[in-house]
Amino acid sequence: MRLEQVELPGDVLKVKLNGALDIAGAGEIETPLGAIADKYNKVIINFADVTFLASIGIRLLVKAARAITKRSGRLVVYNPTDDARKVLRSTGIDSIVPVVADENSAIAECSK
Amino acid sequence: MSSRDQIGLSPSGSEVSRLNAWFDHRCIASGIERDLCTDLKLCINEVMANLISYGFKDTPEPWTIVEIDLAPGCASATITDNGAYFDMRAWQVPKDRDLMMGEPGGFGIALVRERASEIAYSRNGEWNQLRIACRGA
Repeated sequence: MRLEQVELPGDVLKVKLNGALDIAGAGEIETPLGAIADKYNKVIINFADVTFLASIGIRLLVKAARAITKRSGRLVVYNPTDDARKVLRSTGIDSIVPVVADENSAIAECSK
Repeated sequence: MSSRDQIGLSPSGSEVSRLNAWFDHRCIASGIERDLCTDLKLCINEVMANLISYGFKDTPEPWTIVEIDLAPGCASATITDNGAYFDMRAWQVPKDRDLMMGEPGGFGIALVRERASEIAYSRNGEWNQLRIACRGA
């Protein structure tokens, strides 16, 4: 799994994930995502190219959301595939990580 | 007509990637409903993740065999492993928990229960056998 990050105006960090967020993919992004969660208060994650999402990926999101929320920051996921959206909803993580349609909505959501 | 196949693997992330590539290929070749493949793939991944994290702590030579049977209207997998006894049907899924507190676990088994139409488990000697079937609506 590939993780790319770009700083946007307004201290927002955009993260783009590409690939399968299965046990192998989660192992590949655990450290960089943890470092991001420790450093940035406004993080938006583009899920458009997450081709598969398993619960191990949900665990990573929960950990990141906890770290960011502790500093009154915000983690937002946007543009997930239908399959990923179903997993996000089933696990209830959308109660702590807002899931929105596009980048503009994500930026607005994490700047609230 | 159903499509049956099996794969043997050791418990590691890279082996799960190999399993997923194999499964995706078999699903496309079978021509069955995409939703069934998606559900079964998720279930198999959750079982494998559980095995890798917890199942083989006391197993010197861990091994898993995944057999699949893909047919229109029903996709099933039988996962056989030589890890510790574990019947996921008996595991209590946390309800109404605060996701900001405590250990963020239990999602995988909850997903398997949600996606699977049938879950059967047996222990035969040193081997666990878990069968998961996903049926169409």
